[in-house]
Amino acid sequence: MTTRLSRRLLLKGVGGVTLSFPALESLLPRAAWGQAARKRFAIFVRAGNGIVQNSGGDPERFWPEMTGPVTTAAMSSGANATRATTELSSYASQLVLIKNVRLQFPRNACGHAEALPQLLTAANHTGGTSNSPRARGPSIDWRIAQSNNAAGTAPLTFMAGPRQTYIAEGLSWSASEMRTPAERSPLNAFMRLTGLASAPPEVQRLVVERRKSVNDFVREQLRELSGKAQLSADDKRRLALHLDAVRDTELRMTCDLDPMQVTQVRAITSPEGNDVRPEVVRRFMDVAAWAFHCQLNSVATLQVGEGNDQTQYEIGGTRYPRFHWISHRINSDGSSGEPIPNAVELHHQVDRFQLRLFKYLLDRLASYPSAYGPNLLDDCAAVWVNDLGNGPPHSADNTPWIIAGSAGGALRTGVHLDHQRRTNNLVLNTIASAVGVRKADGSLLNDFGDPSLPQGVLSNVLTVT
Amino acid sequence: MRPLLFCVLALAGCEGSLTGGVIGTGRPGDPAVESPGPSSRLPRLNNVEYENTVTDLLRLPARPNVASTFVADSTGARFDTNGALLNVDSTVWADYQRAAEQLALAATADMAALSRTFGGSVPAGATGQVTALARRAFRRPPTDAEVMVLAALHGQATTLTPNVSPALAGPRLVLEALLQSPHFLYRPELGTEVKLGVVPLDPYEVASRLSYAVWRTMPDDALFAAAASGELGTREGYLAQARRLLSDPRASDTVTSFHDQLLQVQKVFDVTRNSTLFPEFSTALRGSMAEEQRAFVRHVVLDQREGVKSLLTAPYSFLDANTARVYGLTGVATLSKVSFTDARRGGLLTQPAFLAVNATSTTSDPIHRGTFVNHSLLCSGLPPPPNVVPMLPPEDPMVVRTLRQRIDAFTGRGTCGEGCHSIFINPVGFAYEHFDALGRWRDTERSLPVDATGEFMFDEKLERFAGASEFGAKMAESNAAHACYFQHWLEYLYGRRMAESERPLVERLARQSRENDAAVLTLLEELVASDAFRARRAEGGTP
Repeated sequence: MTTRLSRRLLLKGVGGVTLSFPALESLLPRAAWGQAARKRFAIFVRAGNGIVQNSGGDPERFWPEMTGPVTTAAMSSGANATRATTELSSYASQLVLIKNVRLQFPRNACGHAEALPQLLTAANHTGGTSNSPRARGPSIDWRIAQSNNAAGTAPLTFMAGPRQTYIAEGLSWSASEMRTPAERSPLNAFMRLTGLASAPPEVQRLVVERRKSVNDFVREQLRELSGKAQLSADDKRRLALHLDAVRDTELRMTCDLDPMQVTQVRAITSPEGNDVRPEVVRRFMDVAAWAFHCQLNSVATLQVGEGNDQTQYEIGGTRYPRFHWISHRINSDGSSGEPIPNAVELHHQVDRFQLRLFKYLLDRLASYPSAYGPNLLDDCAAVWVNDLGNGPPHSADNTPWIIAGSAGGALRTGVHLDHQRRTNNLVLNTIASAVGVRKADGSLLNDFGDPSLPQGVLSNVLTVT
Repeated sequence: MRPLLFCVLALAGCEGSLTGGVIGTGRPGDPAVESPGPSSRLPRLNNVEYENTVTDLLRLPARPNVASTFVADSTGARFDTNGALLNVDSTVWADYQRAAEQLALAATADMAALSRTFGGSVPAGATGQVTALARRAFRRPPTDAEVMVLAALHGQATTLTPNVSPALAGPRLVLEALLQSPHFLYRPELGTEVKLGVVPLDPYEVASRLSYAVWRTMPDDALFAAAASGELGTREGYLAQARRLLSDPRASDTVTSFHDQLLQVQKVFDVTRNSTLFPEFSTALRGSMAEEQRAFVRHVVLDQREGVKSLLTAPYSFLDANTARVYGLTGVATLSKVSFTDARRGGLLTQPAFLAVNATSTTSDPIHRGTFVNHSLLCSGLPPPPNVVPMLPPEDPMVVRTLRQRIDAFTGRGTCGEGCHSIFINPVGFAYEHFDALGRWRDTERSLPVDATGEFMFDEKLERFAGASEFGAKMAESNAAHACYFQHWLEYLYGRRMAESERPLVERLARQSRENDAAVLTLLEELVASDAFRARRAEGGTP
C-alpha cells in the first residue's frame, strides 16, 4: 500500500486509546504529515555489563544453538529453552538476532565508559573513565531523526537510572562530542510531548494562537541575532538549532495516551531510584510507543541503567546484588573482592529479565494499529543491544544485537546471524536504511560512522536496495 | 582570620587605564592586557542559573522549582557553568515554553502578584510596562524597536486571552515572550569595539558576567544601577561591586557548588557498604559525609577567609553523630567543629567523603585515590593508560599481603605500569592507606602493618612523606596544587576552559596563594578583576 491514510481516519477505532481530534492539524504544513512515504520508526534499548554467552570462559546461555532461521517452536524448546533469547520466542518470526558484533575503537581506561559512546555512533571516542569519553561523531538516532522527523525535532533520549553517577548517559550524540542529555522521568517526557493534550478545542485554539504570537517574536530575535557578523560559526549553529526547535513546537498536535498508562506514568515521582527502575523502563516504553503511534517522533533511545549498570534487580522475589558486581562475579566494582556465589547464573537471569523488559516494548508496539501491516511493530526496527559482550573481561568484540520488526517490510526477519566480529557500523547502516534513511544520492546509507570502517549494509537482511 | 592586608596587596597596583572601561593592569613588566581565551558570545543559562534568574526577575518569594523538571544540563565539562556547550533543542525548548507559561501565569495571577513582579508599583501603559520588564529580563535597557514589538504584543493580549482581565493579560503575554527570548535565555555579548587587542565588555555585559559568575543569577538593582551610572566603567567602581558580590551570602552557594563539582561530592550518594564489615555505614551517613565537606569548605573559605593551605591541612573538621562514628569519636550529636588531637588527619583529603568515594565496597582504592588527586588537584596530566588494562590478579590465599604490596607487585617499579603508577599514581594513593573503604583509620591491613610512606615529585623536587597529613602538607607547599586549584576556579568563574594565554594569571594567583597564604576569596577578587574576565577575545567573525 502506498497511499498514506488520513491520520484522523487512522486514529479512529483504536481500541483502548483515548483520542482527541487534532485541532492543530489545520495549522500544520502538509509536508509535516509525509503524504507519500510510509512512516517508519526505530528505537534502541540498551542494557549494560555484557551477557552470558560463549565467551570469556562463560557457557552459552544467550543465543539459540543454531544460526539460520528461527521459529517460536525452536526458540522455546530443547537447549534453546535455557537460553535468554527464549524470552522473545513468541516474536521469533519478527526477529533478526545478530551475534558477534564488534565495537572497533580502543578501550584504554574503562570498558563501560568507552564502549557506550561507540555503540550507536560507530565512531572513535576521546578516551578516559567516568563520563569523560565523548563520541567523535553523531549517533544513528540523530541521523534517523534528521531524515524522518519534522525539522528541528530531536530524537527521544531516555535513561532509566540516576543522574549523578559514575557513568551516566552515553548513547545519543547530536554531533561530535555533543552528548544528548537523557530524560530520567517518564512523566516529564510525557508532559513535554503532550503539549496541549486533553485541553478543549477552543482552549487549544487560543493557546496555539498565543504561542504563535510569542514564537513570531522569538523567531525574529533569533534571526536578528543569527545575522550578527561577530558571532562564531558555532554560535550560529546553536542559534539555528534553537530556531528549528521553535518551529518544531508549531508542529505539535494532540493525541492522548491511554488513561491507565497516564496514571502509571504519573505515579512515578522519584524515577531515579533503584527500586522503580524496571517500572521506569516500562513507562518509557509506553511513552515511546505512544509517541510513534501519534507520530510525535520517529526515533528513540532508552539506556537501562548507568554505563556500568549498578541496579539491584529484583527477580522472582529475590533482590540481586548490584548487576555490575554480578557481571564482575565479585562484590566489587574493581578487580578484587569477595566472590558472588552462582554469579554466572545470576547474570543469566538478569539477561532474561532484560529481554522480558524488551518484550514489553514489543507488546506495546504490537498493541497499536498500523495503516500498512498488522500493527505498529511492523513499522518499526526495535533494537535491543548490550554495549559489552560478556562479564569478565567485558569484551566489546562480540556485542549482541536483536532487531524486532521488519521496518515496514524492509528487513528479512526470523533469522539468527553470526556477524563474525565485523563492526557495528554495518548494523547501524542496515537499521537506518531499513527505516528510510538514504544518502544524498538516494542510495542506501552505507557510510555511517568513522570513515576508517569498512562501508556497507547487511544485504542478506535488507529487502530494499 | 586572614589579615585584610592580603586583600589590599592583591589588588594594589590595579590602576590601569580607565579608557573604554578598565582594561590593562598598568603594572610595570605586565603585559598591557591579560589576554582572554576564546569564548562564546552566547553562553546559555544552565538550569541552576535559570531557576535563580526567574526567581529574581519575577521577585518570587521562593524558588519556583521549575528547572527541576527540565532535561538535565549535560556539557561534558568539569563544571556546569560552561554555557557555550548548552544548546536549545526541541526538548529544551518544550521545557522553556512550558515554564514560561507557568511562570507568567504565577507572576500575573492577580493584581497583588503583578505589583510584586514590578517591584511594588505597576507602570502605567504598555510601553512603561514592557520597558520595565524587558530591562530586567534582557539585563540591559531594551532598544526602541524591541519596546515597540513588545508593546504590540501587549496589545494583542486581550484578544488572545479573552477571559483574563486586560490589566493582567498584557503583562502576562509579554512575560511569556520575554522568558522565551534568546536575550533572556542566553547572555549575549555583542560588542565589537577593539581596544588593546581585545573587546571590552559593555557595562551591562560585565555586570551580567560578574553576577552569574559570583551569584549564578542576574544582577541585582545595585549592580544594574552601577552599570547605568558608569560606575562599572571605573576600576574602583568595578572592584567595589566585585567585593560586594563576593562578600554577599549568595556567594556561599557558588563556593559550595565549585567544591562540590571539583571534588565530585555527589558521588558520595552512591556509596554503599556491607553493614557487617562497616557497621558505621547507613544511608544517612552519605548526606553527613557530604555536609561535613561542605561545612568545612564554608568555614575555611568564607568564615575564616583562609587559603588553599588550610583546605589541604586544617586540623579539624565538622562532624555529626554519623560521621563521628567513622572517626571513632563519641559525644558528637549535631554538626559541629571538632579539632583533631593527633596528626592522623587534616584537610579535605582525609575526610570520608573523598576516601569513601575513592574506594571499593570493601577495600581502599589507592589507584583511584591517586589518580583523582593527580588529575583533579595537581593537574598533572597523566598520560593515557595502555590499550588493555589488565585486572589486578586475585589474592593468593597462601600468601598474606597488603593491598599496597599487591598493587606494587603488579604496577610498581620494574613492571609495565611503572611509568604512571610507581611515579604518579601509587605514591599518592598509598599516602591514604591508613584509611579504609569508609575512611576509618587503621594501623593494620590483613594483620600486616599499613605502610603509608612514599615519595612524590612536587614541582620537580622529590619529597618524602609518611602518611596523609604529611602528604597534604607537602602538597600545600607545592606550586602545582595552588595553580591547579585556581585554574579550576578560572574555568568555573569564566565558564570555559583556561587558555594558555591565561596561564600567567593563574601562576600569579598560585604564587600569592602559596607564598603569602592569600585567602581564596581575595584571589577570586583578582580573578574577576582580571582583563581576561572583563573583556573578550576579538574572535568569531568581524570584531
